[in-house]
Amino acid sequence: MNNQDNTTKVWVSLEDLTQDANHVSASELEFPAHENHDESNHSDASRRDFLKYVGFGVGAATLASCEIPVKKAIPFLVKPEEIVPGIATYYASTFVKGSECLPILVKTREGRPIKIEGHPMAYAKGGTSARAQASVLELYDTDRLKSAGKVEMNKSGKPQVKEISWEEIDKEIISKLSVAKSIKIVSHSVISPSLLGAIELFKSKYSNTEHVQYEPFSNSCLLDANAQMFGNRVVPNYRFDIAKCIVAIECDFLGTWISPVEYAADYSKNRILSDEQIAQATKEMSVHVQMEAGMSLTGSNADHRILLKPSEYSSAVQMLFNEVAALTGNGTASSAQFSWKKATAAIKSAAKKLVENKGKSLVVCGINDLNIQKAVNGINIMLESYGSTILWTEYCKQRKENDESVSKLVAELGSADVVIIMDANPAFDMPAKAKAFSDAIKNLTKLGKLTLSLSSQMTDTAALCSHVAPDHNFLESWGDVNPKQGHFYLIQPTIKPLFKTRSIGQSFLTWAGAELMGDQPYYEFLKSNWKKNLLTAQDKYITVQAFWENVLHDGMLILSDASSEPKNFITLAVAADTNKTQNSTANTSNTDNKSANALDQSKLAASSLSSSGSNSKWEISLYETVNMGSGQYANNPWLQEMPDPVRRTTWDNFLSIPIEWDGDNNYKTPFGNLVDGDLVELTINDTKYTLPVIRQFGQHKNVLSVALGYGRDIAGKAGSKVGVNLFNSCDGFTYHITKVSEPKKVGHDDMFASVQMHHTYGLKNKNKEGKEINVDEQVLGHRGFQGSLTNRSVFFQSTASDLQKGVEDLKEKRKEYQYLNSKGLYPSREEVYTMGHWWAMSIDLNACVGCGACTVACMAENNVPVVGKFEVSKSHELTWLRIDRYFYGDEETPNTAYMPMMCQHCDNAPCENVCPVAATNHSSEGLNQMTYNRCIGTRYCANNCPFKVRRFNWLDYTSADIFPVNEVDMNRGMENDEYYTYMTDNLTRMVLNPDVTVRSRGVIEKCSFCVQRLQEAKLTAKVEGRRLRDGDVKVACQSACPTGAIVFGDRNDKESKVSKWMNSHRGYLALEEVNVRSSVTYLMKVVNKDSKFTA
Amino acid sequence: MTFTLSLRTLLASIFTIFTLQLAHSQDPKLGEALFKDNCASCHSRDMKKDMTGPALAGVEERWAKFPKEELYSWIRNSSGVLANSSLKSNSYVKGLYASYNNAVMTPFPSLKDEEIASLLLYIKNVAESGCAAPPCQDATAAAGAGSTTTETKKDESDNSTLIWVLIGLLAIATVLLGRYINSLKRMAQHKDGVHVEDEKSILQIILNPTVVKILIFAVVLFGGYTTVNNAIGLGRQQNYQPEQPIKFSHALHAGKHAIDCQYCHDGARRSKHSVIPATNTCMNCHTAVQNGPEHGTAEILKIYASSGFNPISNKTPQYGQYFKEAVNADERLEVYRKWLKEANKDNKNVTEAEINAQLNAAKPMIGKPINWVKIHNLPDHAYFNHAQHVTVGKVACQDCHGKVEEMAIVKQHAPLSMGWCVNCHRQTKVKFDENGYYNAKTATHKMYEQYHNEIKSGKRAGVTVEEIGGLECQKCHY
Repeated sequence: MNNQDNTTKVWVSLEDLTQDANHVSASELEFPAHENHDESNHSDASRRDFLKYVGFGVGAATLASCEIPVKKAIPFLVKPEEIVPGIATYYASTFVKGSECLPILVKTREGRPIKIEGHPMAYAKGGTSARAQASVLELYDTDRLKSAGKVEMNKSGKPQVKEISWEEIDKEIISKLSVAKSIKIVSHSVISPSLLGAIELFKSKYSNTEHVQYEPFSNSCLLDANAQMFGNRVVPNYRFDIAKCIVAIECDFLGTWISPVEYAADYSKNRILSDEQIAQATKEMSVHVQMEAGMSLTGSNADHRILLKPSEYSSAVQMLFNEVAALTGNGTASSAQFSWKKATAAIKSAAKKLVENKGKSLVVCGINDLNIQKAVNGINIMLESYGSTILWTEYCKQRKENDESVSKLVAELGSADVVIIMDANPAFDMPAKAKAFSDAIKNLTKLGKLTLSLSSQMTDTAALCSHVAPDHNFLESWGDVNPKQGHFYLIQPTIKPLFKTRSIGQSFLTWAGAELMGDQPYYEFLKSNWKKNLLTAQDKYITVQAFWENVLHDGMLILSDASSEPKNFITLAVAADTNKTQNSTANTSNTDNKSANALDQSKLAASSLSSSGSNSKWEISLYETVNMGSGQYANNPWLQEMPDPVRRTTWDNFLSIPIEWDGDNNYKTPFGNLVDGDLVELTINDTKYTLPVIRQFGQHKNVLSVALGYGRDIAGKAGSKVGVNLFNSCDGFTYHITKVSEPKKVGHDDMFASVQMHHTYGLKNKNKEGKEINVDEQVLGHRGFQGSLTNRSVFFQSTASDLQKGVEDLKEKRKEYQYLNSKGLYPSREEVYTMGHWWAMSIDLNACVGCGACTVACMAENNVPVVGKFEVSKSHELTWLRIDRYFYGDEETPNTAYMPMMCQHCDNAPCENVCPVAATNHSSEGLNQMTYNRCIGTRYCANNCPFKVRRFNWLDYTSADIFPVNEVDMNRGMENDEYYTYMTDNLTRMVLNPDVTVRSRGVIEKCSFCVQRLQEAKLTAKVEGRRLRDGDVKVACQSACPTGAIVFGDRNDKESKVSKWMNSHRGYLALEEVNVRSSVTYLMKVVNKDSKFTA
Repeated sequence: MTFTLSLRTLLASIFTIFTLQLAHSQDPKLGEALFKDNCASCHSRDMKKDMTGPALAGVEERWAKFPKEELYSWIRNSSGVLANSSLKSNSYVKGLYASYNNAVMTPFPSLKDEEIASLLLYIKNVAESGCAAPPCQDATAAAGAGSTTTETKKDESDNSTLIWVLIGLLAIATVLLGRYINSLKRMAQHKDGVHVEDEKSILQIILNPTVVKILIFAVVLFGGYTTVNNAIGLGRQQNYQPEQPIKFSHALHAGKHAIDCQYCHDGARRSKHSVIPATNTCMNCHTAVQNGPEHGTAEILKIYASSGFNPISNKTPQYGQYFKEAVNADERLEVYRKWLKEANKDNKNVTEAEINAQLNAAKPMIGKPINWVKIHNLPDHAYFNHAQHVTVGKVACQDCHGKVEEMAIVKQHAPLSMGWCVNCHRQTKVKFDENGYYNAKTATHKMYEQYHNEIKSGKRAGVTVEEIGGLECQKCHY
């Protein structure tokens, strides 16, 4: 794995570092045999059953072929003009779930939404997140609530809905509302101005109403700090694209914090280096310092990490404040002691870097503590960040939570008459208060009070309610969002509602007794809102007609002057804000006065911060994962199966435990010889938990981390009872716990589903003679083939200060490989490929933050099946695109690199030579083609693939054949024992991309470079009678990427972006030395690391 | 007497010559062609119904009181006649004009006198006979032609049978002759006193182990060959000709009326699917065309039922209206019954029972899309795109679908097998010069440039689909 000139160590996991014997022997096998790989276990079919099925199969096939089934072709009655069957239609809309939103384009085929793409004109610049990509599957979730009704328990104790018509339920609800003395509405932050308007109407009719907004991952103190210091209770507009020095304190802004897609797009601008910038790399690149306890996605991308116990955050922020104050002449420096010895020096270096970049630096903090947030604001004031990297125009309006009002709510809940819970699940995810909340709701329901859930799913909360009035999925409904000041986005329906659901807005309008206009009253309400408030505020469109048609077409309206945002539109939003803080827009003229005053406030806050950490030996840090959120995505199998980027685990949450290293090659955990997947028992805040462990690099030695959002009891077939829920053990709205016992091993999880050691390549070992060889090529190695080279180029990296040398070394190395390759037996067939199109991809490892949007986009685009936890534990996952994670550098705080790995479309492909039936072969356009209907499943190709990117369909994951025994129970071995097969249901199958074959059992599949998109783009060019232009083809992973890390195109077009990236000085081919001539160029990873940082 | 006779004969012959000449200048065939090209879009084809323009039956009688020239100039340029108040027919035309919502008839200034005469004759023929003589003749002629072609085909197949019979006879003759010669030889040998073995019977020869082995081998070989060949054909349905829910005749629409294929199948030029037209596409014509030549109202009623069209409406008699959704099936059926009676009042073949049958057939279609039976089914793992072939490749529909314009009931013409696709890709030349995609000046493709040069130098005549990669797996399978 190492590249020898670069003395820095590179490793994939602890097993790789220690050369664990089990792991080494397992890696020798292409298809490792697992302990639980027991076929007799798999199905109940005996040999006799097999014969029966064969007999029946042959008979059925014969009969079936005698009479061909009659297929019907049913045309439209009246064809809508914009729909042509076979051609995709795109609608501009917005993905919304809870307080999360992202402007998107929805691809529909024959009236079915099948894919989400980013909205190129929106603030996220066309990027998407894994959650947005996966959201289309939720529309077709078979567990969705299908009608309004009364919640009942069925015989097996599972909640179900007894249908009541909308007219009847409305009557019932209104009758209860009209006599209610206290009405509570509970929701996440509501970012829709029209929905807030509808709630306002509701409140004006029922004056006893209180609307409480909360967030499972609260930033309430950040809002409060801004309110108290700047009179603006919002998240300001952070400009990561301007910041040259970023210090993030326990803040996962690239993965989960507030608006990660937007931040990642901005952040990557200062991380990508062009060839011209190489000489000045240290200046051109931003410096990113992360202060945290466990490794977060953002932390893994940082140049420097400062390890802290969560209880030490206060003193660290205090020290950073004082250091910056001293350097900027605002106070005196102070020093503190930390459990990680290097922290003191590192914080000093961080402060120095911040001050060096004064005016272009940015400190962000995700800790929900008022004093810390005030101190951080103070640091930013001293660094003159306000007005440059932090703006009060176009500020973020996605967060409105208020922790205090939540405490008040829970206290008063017992006396409420009506509780309406919008798209939220407080009985599960209200930190520390979930239990109290669910008890109160249960009690109210028992007392015959109206407890109403508006969620479109049966959730832990809805199950306790008396009634449900389910909302549409966002792809079925009208709506709007106002995520930033002056930015307005529309949600428009892309399909007719599948079930008897109704939009929340219409429900509120109905109950408020508002005049309902037309067939779609909420649409009319929204339209009139927009016309009333936004038509005059904007200056682009003159007529009402032009205004509405254009905003509907674009799905958005951005006011040229954000501060001209109509006041009455905002007042609706602000009035709904329980805190009623005065929401004046701070303008630049009074910022100076305010900031002087604010600085005093923050000095006070900083001095009152505790200057020492807790004495507790173990602390728990709780975090949010990019796939599960606070649990609202639990029933989405795409997200469950998407590996957590940092830990590479699926279908579970884990206890991340630190690794101790004695300086030699001796690694252990603090709890003895634990291995990944061992079950431990520990007490957290007096509750006993049993969790599987994963040994994690970059983890503070006294800190254990667990993801929240797992362990939902009632989520649906896929999501129920996956992992362990810790929300109840939180100390209020904070995400670390100091009352933790020492974990003790109690067993091992046989279904440990981490994909880290699946499909790895390039690992090394020593043979019997002590000679170093490659593990996966051991057999070949004995015979001395070129393939047994131990010095293999997989991953290259450099630091910004050494970049020129790094680039020279790389050039030297590539020259050597190319020389070797020119002496090979296989002639280059370049003359063939240079004739026409020659498709290629380039990936900038510096831009890739590992967020995983591409992996889910690939699943959605290419009908890649989900296999379930049991199958993943057997290395049977089918993802065409995986993100390999590499650690390198210092073992204690290693740097991390993410390397998206998919079929490399080698022009000298080893898989093609070995296929006995030529099912995989090469096209003249440089594509490695896979022909499923020719494949007989020998798996020779997968054995011969040096990148391990070929996947075998072990079972019938998509129900393609007639034998139900081949189908896979996704819940096999899981606590949720409901029989659950994926893609066997006609509703779920509606998400399939009709242009891509659904593969059946027994064939190999792999990345096709989205050949359906290539063909489509070529056809469009031919129909228009023009040549193919660069950028006409965008493959699915490329278009999903928030940071633009992937480019794709024709390398024969010398002007194309991909050929420029391929010729970049940082460019290299993985395993170039084995002469496979791959088509994917990687651009070397560079970190802006200062060797004296911790000195 | 002779004189009178001869005079009569003379007169008669003159008259005959005259009428013949007249008939010559008034060619009903020419009239039919003219009518179809110019008049049929506004005037009813059976001349009996008012449409956009009035029913034309009896037009000459109506104009008898005015000079013939005025009718002719009315046909050529109606607004001229309307403007000229000095004409005798002026007041009549004005009334006519007003009763048709002041819609001006398209002027046809280039029509010659004899053409108009032909047109009028054709109108008269159709109006009187109910069936225009020439088209009827055409139909028989077409049928005749059809039968002749089948006969020729039969002849060809007869030939081959004949050859096989001849071969068989020759073979038998050869065997017989062989045996005869053999017997003669043996007799000769016997005569010469040479010892001759007993002659083997045919059965003995057949049961000879070598022959049995060869036979078994042949059976296995032949059996295997047939099995494989038939197995390959499994799932293919060449000549598949299912009954459709509506007896829609492509021969009538695409053939006789020469409606362009892509008028209805409008997806073919831009999409993967050619698209089966929505019912409202049918209604573009069938609001006006309410009676078909073959099935009368029976099949058209089904379209009305599906689309919700109300053929009886007071406001705009020629276009009718659509039912509101609230109007239920039974109410609609009553309207249809009324319409059927009205439309078929001249047709004695349509009895009450027949009307009931038509209504029953249409009932399940009310408000529902038409469930056509899909004829061309490709396997799911094969990708086919109509736009690629129709717009880019400029392939005629008939190349794959056969002469649909001659099919009363469509059947699958091509086998749709992979071999068939591949063969076509091997032989068909792409539109290399026409399409800008292959244009040498802009293409980054060296290959295209090379092909262009080779074409210029006469080295090659064109570029086949195969030569631009059209046989690679992932052009059709992904």
